[in-house]
Amino acid sequence: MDGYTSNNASENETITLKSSDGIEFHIDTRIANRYTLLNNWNSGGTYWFTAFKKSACLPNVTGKVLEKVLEWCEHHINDPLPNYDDDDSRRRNTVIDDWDQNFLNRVDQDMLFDIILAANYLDIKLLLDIGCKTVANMIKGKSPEELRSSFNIVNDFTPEEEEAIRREN
Amino acid sequence: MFRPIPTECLQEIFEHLQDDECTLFSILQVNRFWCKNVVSILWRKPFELCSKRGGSPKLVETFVSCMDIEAKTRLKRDCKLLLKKKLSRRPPSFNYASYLRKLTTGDLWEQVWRWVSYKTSYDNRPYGRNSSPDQKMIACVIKELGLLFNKSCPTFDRLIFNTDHDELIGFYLLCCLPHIREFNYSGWGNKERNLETASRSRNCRNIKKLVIEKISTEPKQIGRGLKYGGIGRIERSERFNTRRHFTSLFNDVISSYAILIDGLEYDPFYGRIAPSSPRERVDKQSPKSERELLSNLIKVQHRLEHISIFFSDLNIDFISSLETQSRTLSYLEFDTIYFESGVTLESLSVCENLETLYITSCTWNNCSGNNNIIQQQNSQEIFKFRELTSYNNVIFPNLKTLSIRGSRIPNDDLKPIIKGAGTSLQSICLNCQQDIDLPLLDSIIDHCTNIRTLELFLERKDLLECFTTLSNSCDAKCSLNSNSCNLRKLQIYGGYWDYRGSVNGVGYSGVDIANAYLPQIGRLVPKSLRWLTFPKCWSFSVTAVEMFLKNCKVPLQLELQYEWA
Repeated sequence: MDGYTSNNASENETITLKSSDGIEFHIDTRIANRYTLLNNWNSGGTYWFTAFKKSACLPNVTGKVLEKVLEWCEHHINDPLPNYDDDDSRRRNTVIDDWDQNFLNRVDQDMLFDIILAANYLDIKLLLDIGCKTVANMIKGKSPEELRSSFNIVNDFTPEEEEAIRREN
Repeated sequence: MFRPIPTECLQEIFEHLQDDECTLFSILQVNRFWCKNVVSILWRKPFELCSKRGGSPKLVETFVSCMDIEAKTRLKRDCKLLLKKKLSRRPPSFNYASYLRKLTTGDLWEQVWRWVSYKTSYDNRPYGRNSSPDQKMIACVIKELGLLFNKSCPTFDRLIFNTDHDELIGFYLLCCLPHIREFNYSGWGNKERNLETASRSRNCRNIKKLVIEKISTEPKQIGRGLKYGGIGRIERSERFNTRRHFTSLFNDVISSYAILIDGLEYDPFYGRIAPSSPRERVDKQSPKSERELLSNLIKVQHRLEHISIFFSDLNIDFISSLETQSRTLSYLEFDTIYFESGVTLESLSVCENLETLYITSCTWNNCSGNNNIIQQQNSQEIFKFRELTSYNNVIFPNLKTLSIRGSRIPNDDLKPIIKGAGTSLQSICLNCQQDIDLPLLDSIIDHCTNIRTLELFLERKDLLECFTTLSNSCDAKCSLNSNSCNLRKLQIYGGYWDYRGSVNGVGYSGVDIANAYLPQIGRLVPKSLRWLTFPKCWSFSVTAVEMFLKNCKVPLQLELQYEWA
């Protein structure tokens, strides 16, 4: 049996992930086993994995972003898996611990959004949640004008539409 | 300035703000795309959000604007006073009703009341508490809202009854709303009509979560008096007046509308829809108690997963109805329940797939009173598992959480549960009595190797014995290298510290016990333990705590009281 398909992988077993710009990362199989999408690749069930055997190519994630995602995964490798009944309770209970806070504070906004997109693509729910919660905290308490200015958004409502939205809500 | 937020994750980000209505409202006004992504979140539980900010007639106004022409016409016909203010014909920006997922009857009644008050006020001045809008008009509006929700909201799932007006609101909601997944019924009001409607309504066959309190054991309609958890009673005359008032109001409104409810084959209160007078049909109905009606509701469910019942008297017939849900029922909670004669813990074993069992402040027939000895003898008779082992029954093999608080159940009856659940048990909370909890510790350690959380009642004299047992168990497991100790959290409850008293004839003060035991306990803390809580009423000396911390080699979050003297 190939080491990378085993569920009882030891710490030394690795698989290789290749970013969209061709950078290769050798990761502990325990990380792959922990997250659903990586786990699917690890089980050899997808095109990318079967094509590259011991390496999986991630066409939507650049090397710089993948490095950050893997840094987060490695830090949380021994955390107990949270068990929430549904998405609502999961989101309500998202707690950003100190390490995660520092981790996300060290990246710029572009990188933060890229990490969120990568977490979404790789189905790493906890990273997706803390990323989204961080952005939600940026949005919290701001007026519509402040939000437009902060996130570089153009107001495309007509005056009539704007009035209707205010009247109905 | 930031780069625009990736559109793929916009809704996911907004979900984290679902309880912050002000920010959601700001987001709504940013641009069309943000508005489209946030509107479903903002209108998921609009009545609750609106009530939180003090209420506004605008909410119902917007829902009325979502109604079709026929509904608006009916509303004008039956609420003539509303004609004084024109109903808007302009279509709304979104079909807001389609986003509704949760409805609490108290909030619904409040917002409709505000809107009707607003519409019937002569000069559109803000409504006041002194005005009293026509109840019939409120009922008509609620009925039309029910029909609107029936047509429009496929994702609706939570219905919570919590108002004195539940009887009237309930009919429309239970018949009109799409499939109800969570049914929560609180309050002292009469639940008979709504429970019967729910058990007959096709919308209420797929409830997953049922939470209910204060169930009467005798029919209220005939005014025999009530019994809620053995304590509550309502006088015959009081009930009768309320009933007569309600019936009159209800019959006025219902007669012309029942037929509008799509697919309804019968009037759920009075049998098949027929032109005869509702008052005539009421008399033919044989009265049933809320407990019987709840039992019927449970029986017609397809996949009930969660049942919580509070402040009620339950009998063996009711417990038997749980068997119909044994395949799917995983969560069972009883709080302040009086179990009538014949109900035992074994009776609950019909719920074979139970994962969580909470029994809090419950009593059993013949178990009330202050005499502990009599109580124990009686309870042992009542709860005795009948030759359990000879039947080779395994009770609750999938149980993960067991909580028995304030309910005295002999450990002979709890042991089979602990043994049966074995390795699946992860959390045990006991807070019965010292003579029950401590003797169970050996069973827990023997059978529940995956236990992570343990809460139990201890006398201070048993503190050392408890930790010695835990420590030996953990060491044994580690040396076998098979099942490592998993206990992460230990919370101890106990009685007040008695400085002057003696325990088992050994005369020593509470402070002496602390000084003697606590440092030793530091050495005995299981390696896996991360949280340790002592009773708040126990106070240790600073020296003892310092010694404990010095001896304890485990990274521990410790909660205890200490004093300098």
